[in-house]
Amino acid sequence: MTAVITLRDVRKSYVAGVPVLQGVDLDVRAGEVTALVGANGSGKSTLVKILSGYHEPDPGSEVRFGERSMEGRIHPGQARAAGVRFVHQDTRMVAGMSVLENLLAERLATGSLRRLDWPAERRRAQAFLDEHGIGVDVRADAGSLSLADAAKISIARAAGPESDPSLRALILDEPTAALGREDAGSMLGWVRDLARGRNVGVLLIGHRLEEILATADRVAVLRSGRIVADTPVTELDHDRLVEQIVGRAIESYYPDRAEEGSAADAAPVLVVESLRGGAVRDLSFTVAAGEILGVTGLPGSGFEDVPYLLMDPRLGARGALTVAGRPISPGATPVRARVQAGLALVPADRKRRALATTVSVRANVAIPHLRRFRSWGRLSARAEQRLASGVVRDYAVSPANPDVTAGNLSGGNQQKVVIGKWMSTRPRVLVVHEPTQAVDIGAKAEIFRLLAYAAADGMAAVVVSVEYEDLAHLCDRVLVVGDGRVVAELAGDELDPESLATAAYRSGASGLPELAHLR
Amino acid sequence: MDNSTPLAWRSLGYRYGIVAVWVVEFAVFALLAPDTFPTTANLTSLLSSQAVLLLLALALVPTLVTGEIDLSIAGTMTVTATMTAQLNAVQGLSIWTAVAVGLATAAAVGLVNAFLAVRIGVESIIVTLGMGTLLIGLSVWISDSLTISGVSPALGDLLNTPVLRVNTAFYLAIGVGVAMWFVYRHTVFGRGAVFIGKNAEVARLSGLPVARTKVLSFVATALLAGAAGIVVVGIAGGLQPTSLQTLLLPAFAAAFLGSAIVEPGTSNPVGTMIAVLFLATGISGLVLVGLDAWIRDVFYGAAVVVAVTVSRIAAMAAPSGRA
Repeated sequence: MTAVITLRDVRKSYVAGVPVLQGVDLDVRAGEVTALVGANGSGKSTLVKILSGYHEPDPGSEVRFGERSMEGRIHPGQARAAGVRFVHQDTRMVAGMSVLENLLAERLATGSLRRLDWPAERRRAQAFLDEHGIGVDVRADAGSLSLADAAKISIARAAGPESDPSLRALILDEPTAALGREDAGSMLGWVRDLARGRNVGVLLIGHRLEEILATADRVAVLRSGRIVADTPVTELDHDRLVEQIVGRAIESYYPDRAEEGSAADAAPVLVVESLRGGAVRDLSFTVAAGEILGVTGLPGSGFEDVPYLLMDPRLGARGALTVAGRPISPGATPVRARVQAGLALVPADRKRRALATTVSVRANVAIPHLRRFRSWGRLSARAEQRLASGVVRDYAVSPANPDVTAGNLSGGNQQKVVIGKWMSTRPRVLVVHEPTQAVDIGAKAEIFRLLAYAAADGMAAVVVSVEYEDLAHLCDRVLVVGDGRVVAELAGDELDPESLATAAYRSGASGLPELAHLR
Repeated sequence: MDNSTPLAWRSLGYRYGIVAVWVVEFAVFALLAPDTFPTTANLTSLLSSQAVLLLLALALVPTLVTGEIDLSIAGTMTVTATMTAQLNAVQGLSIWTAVAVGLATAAAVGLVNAFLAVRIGVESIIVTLGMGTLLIGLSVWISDSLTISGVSPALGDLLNTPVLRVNTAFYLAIGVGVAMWFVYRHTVFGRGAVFIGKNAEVARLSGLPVARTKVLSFVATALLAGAAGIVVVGIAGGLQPTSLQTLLLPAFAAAFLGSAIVEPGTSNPVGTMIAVLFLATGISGLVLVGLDAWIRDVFYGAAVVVAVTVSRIAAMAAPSGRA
């Protein structure tokens, strides 16, 4: 069988000397579904961005689409001419417009003033969907489609009509990310038929292993910037694949956390009872003083909604919360009352939700404290200065000047300011979401140390992250969320990156009731 | 930190450089029109004439600080002035009752703007654009398209009394500006409002009452615009309801120029007051040098464009503080 996409020695370094891709070799053959999987940090998203033309591979890398060699950054037009189409994971249609209008949107956007022949366009569009086996009336509102049909249509659009012979390969980036299991199954079966029927090579990028095992012909595993395995699916099972994905590599920049085992016995300071909202269906857990609890799962499982459901009343979460004995209604209690009760949140999206980048470090740090700084009807500039200087010193922010504009700090220092700001409120429960995202290794180690130190001092921490390695080393206990519920709880000897990965990937395949179609 | 001194000087330059420009402006006009420009009569009448614009430009500060905009200030000023003048001169209510009703009307306008912009979430630029025009129309209807005259002189006496040859209205406006400076610099509300303008989402997740602060800011803007309207009625003893719209652009020119100085990047009362007087000095000088009244529109119009352009450039070039 002929290779329609050929990668040879594809390399990429963002910073000289720190390679993210260390020579990737991969073939995608016509008529086959080749899956590409890899854990966070494996280089998968970098490879995807090279294929979609977002990043340029390092010189010397070879990317061939069919017989054509792609030079430098892959231009979408170039890829299209070579018969390779990329489907992004968030290709949505505009609700409130018909499917037909959505299908025509590209042509309308390039718009000449020629009159549209609506009946003819409708017949053509309907025939197009029919030949792809998509049972949708093109006059329907795009917002009313099932997620599976919408995903199929976006792939069909990329593939083009059957009469178009130029199609050689499709690259699908997490096409099932928004789909429930049933929808995903039907969609992927359809993709497989498409590959066979039109002799097209499909590169399926994903992380839901059950789906991949059921759909792909071969599975390539990326780890540490290399393809470490490329195996026919007939020789694979779930456990074997997880083993290939996780591999074994332990770093040593984690703090030593005393294994007293007393933490879990202390009184709980955060009690969460049947929390519901976002992708979270029903979540209950407690965190004790001095404990670091990890929360993880696969993207879309709901775990990444947990920090915001705890803090933000606007999300209208249901259920019950207690912080240090104070009851909090997740969908109603204002943020200020939660902060006063001792809850603090360090969001993952630093520039939008955690730090005002155009004002000084001092102003950022002072914000939760303003009320305390009142004296004689005015704010005490001295108290504010003392607090900000203290945070900058205690959290080793560099440069050590609270008057610096926050946006001018490096990512790691920005994160230290955000953590310092909340630690200075002396929280009883600190919730951090991806605390080490876009943070260099040195700052990462410091941030872990700060969390460990604060926990030793009696604070409870909830670390919400996809970094299994970090969670395994930092946390006393980790909850794995699947389909909006806790599907596994790991602690003590069971808690290691491999078991976390296994539990997370298994959660995508556990026998939980299927409710996704209710969305 | 051996570079701290030049940085501090540079920052001082960005913040108060306009004062130096003002001095130069003053000196140039004093040279070009030595007999008319640098005279007590001209300068005191210049200051006395700026009370209304000072209040109207200051009115923009609360909404601009929180990251919103209120284009309805001229309409709010007009409707407040019309209500006050009509109730006193035509309906015969006492002047103080009329003033109270006028200000209550202004507050109500602020609440409606806030409800639509904050609660419902409509873009404030659109809500207030419509509201401003609507209020001018209502004012003309209230006054029956007539010029109102015969307002009780008690209000005029209060605002027109000269102190050091400048009317009390001017001091009142400056007093309001100083009070606002205190609020935005030294109170929980003001500091919170400034932070909300910088990043409302971070503010909200830090526990600041974002919606409430924005609502209060819309009301404050409307009340200050209303106060400007009452000063108009007091000083003139009457009102021509369609005459006040021309103040909208000068107010924005001063507010935008004000955001580029003193605390660059943030709308602030002191910068706004300096900007009002700076622009007024320029126009007075240009007219005395011999240019016609058209220069006013050209000058204020240019000031808006130059002010936002300069603050954009200043924001890019501002001392970053990166050590």
